[in-house]
Amino acid sequence: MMGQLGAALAYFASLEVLIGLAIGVIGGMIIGIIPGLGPSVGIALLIPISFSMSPTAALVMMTAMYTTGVYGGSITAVLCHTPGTAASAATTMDGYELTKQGRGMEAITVVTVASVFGGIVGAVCLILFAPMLGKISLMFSCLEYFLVACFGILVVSGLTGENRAKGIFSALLGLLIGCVGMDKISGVPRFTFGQLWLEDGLDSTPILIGLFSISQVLILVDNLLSGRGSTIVDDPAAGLQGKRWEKGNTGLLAPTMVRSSIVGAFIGFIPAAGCSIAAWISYSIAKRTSRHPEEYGHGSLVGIAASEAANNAACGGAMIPLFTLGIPGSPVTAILYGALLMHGLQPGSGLFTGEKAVMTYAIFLGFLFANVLMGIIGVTMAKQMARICLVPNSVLVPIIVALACIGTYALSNSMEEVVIMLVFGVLGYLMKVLGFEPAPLVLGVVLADILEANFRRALIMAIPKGGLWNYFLTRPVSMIIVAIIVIFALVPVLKRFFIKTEES
Amino acid sequence: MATKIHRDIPVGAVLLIFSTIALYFARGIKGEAKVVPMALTILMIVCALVIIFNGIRATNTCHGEYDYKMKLGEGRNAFIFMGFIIIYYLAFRYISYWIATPLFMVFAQKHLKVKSWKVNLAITVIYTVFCYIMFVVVLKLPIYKIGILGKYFRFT
Repeated sequence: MMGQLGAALAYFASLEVLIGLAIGVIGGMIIGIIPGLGPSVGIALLIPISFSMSPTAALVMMTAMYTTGVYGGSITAVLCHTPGTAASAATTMDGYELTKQGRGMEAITVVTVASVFGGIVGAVCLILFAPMLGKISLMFSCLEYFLVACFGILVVSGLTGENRAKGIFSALLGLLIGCVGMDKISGVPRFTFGQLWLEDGLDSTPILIGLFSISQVLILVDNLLSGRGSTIVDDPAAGLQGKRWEKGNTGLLAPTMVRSSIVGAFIGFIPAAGCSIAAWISYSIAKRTSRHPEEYGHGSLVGIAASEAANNAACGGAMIPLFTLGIPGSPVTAILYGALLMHGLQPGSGLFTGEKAVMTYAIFLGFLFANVLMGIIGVTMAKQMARICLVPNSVLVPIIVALACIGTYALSNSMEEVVIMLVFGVLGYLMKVLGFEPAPLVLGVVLADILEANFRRALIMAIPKGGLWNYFLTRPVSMIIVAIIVIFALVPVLKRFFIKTEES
Repeated sequence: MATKIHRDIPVGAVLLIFSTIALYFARGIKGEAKVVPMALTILMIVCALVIIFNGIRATNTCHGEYDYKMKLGEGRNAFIFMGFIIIYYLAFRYISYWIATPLFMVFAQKHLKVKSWKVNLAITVIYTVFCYIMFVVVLKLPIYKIGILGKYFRFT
């Protein structure tokens, strides 16, 4: 493999590949920043451009856009409470709080470093373990997908805020919203009220933009017109005075970044799980294992490092089943799958043998270099990006609204999506005023489909095995996931027990 | 004097009504597809009852003195601005994004107390031109299909 990696490096002497890499990185960051336009839209737009390019240059450009698109979405999540993609929603909770405290530059730097670290871990997994992990991903089926979604649901318990009943209600509402549309198993319409545009269900992105971005805009307007703040940052004079990287940050964040990257890469390679679930689960693990869980949601650097390392590591992980088995687990990887076929690359073992192996490793190396380049640009631009928090709200608010509207329209060229975004904007505002957390609702929407459809598929698959329990006993991976879920659920109990023992 | 009730009581009541209506519609779904929505709505009803119960408990313990972080009654400005956004949406949908957006930007900034007309217009023009280049010229988004004047802003 080392020989093939060495040969793959030679591809980067080509100007076409380097230009592709630069376009992918910069384009991904811009696309990610615009609410609604995630990496899937960006990569789809690159397909016609890549027709005349060599397969390596085209795929390097697209995979670079994948990872940097996820990162770009986190920049606006931190600075404007506007996550560009669902994968950045977890970062919003602490990142925006840091910006308000005048630590936007530090938050952006932590987001960048964690994203780069996670991206590199994902790329290393892709380069070193792709064929092996690809085989493992075949051991996952409906029951395992369902259990992973259950793990995600468990995360809700850490996001409910002060009032647990309200948090759980939010999550249930999210799951119910996820049920809207045609039932995936039987094809029966649910809560569509005869509206054709509802039959495909509600996309999570307009909901996300409404709940986070529009609701925050309304709060900013409220604060501005009632004289409680004219900029996002509480003290504009101290807005950019903080350091990029405090001395103790490396020691503080390194263990979380390592753990979250591994968790992210692992969740990423499970088809259908994706970057957003990876980010939420890592955030929740970090909170549960922290000595100061009360800091989460109030500007915790560890919190943003956890979600950011995980969502970028998941990008690398998601490409493992794609390249090794031809299984696209998300809309982004489905588009990449189409791009691979378009350039004559048939996913499978053929990509890891002979001449094509060199090309494949060149694409993986491109993904690795994209993360490095993204880090260099991100750290260099951190101060300039953090200046957004000094822009008066009177200017920022109309820009966010106009951008959110056109970005949401661009998602599927549909004005109905804009209506959904606005409805959820008002709902998000009401939720914040009345003490409900919007995060469990978003997580509910994201998980609903994976949870229900896979559970029902598992029930169908369990019939020849004599029922769900017998089927479960034949699936070692399911047992491992259940064991992890039980350990995860017991962490707070065990932690409390150890603290009490220490105190006594 | 009667004690003012905690707001979680009316909020819980609204959620209870909403969940009950959702349960009614969930019951009408055919076959197995109704199981999950029904289970979810029943759990939502339970949560709504817990919220009401918590509200009653807070009413009894706090005796009308509640420490709300945000109040709905103070959100008048937010709802007025939401009106701006709805008008903007209607203009976007029925006239054109490229007419609605500059008008929205100018009036919204004025409403949000941007005093200088120069700054206001400069931001509006820069934003609109940037968006036109980004979404129409580069991304080829079919925004021209939206609104009666949309076709005049098609980039060929």
